[in-house]
Amino acid sequence: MTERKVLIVDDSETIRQQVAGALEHAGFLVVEAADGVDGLECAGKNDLCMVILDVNMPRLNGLEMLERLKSDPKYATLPVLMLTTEVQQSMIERAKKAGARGWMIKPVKLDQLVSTVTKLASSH
Amino acid sequence: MLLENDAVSAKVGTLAGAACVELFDAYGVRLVDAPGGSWEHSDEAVLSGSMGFVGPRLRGTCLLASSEGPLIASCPAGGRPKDWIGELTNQLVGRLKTKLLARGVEVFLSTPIVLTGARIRPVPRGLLTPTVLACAEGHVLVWLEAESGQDLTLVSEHPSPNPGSEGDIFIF
Repeated sequence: MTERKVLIVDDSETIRQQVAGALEHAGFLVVEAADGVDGLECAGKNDLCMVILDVNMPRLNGLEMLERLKSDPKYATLPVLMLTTEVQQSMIERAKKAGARGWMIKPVKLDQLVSTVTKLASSH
Repeated sequence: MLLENDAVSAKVGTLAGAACVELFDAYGVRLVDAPGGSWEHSDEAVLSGSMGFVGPRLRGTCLLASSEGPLIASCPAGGRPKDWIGELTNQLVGRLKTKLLARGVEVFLSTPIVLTGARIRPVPRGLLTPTVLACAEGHVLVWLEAESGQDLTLVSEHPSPNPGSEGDIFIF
């Protein structure tokens, strides 16, 4: 069976652990990054089926990471789900335009997150 | 020009206090107004997160401080309080932003910084005092200072509601 590897990018270790635990329980492999710079580096080193991406992070925020990631054709079909407290319509539209597949508002509901990741990852 | 405005700061501070109660409630901790309403500094360790926000008509800083008890009670399994206070600060100011957007005020957020110590106490610039909340596990403080344009009013929710609330998911 092909490994299904998900990258979670969030500056909160607690959120990363919470999300990773739920996804690993559902059978995914998880790699973690604490900001957009590390996230891009991690994406380049791993064969991913999905990225979960916070917005407000130091060094490189999630929207900027998304735009840089999607500017590379090899990530064109990689599903990206934004996971954030932000609800600003202009930010949601920017993510959609850049190629994100979804936007989830914190606090995270783990069962909903796992089902969404499962659905989106299967399309990749 | 943005200037200190106690009336606006008080309203934004009230919104931040409400956001804090809602935030901790989402993680299973019920906060109420602290008896006496003042922050009692002690030798117990306090963790705090500070975060800025800025927009064309409003800018300010929000500080969330807590004794360890409420942080441990609200933190997902395996989390550490010194990380969790930063994430809670981020989510608190995110909720405040949502409330401001609903009132037609747009701001953008910085990222939180965290510090910890004992016997810390707030030293407000003006007459406004921080909001102090309590639960069985300890105390939580929300302190907000803001500067605003003279024409800024925060009277009621904007007729255009925000696109979502906590837990909502949009698939594109």
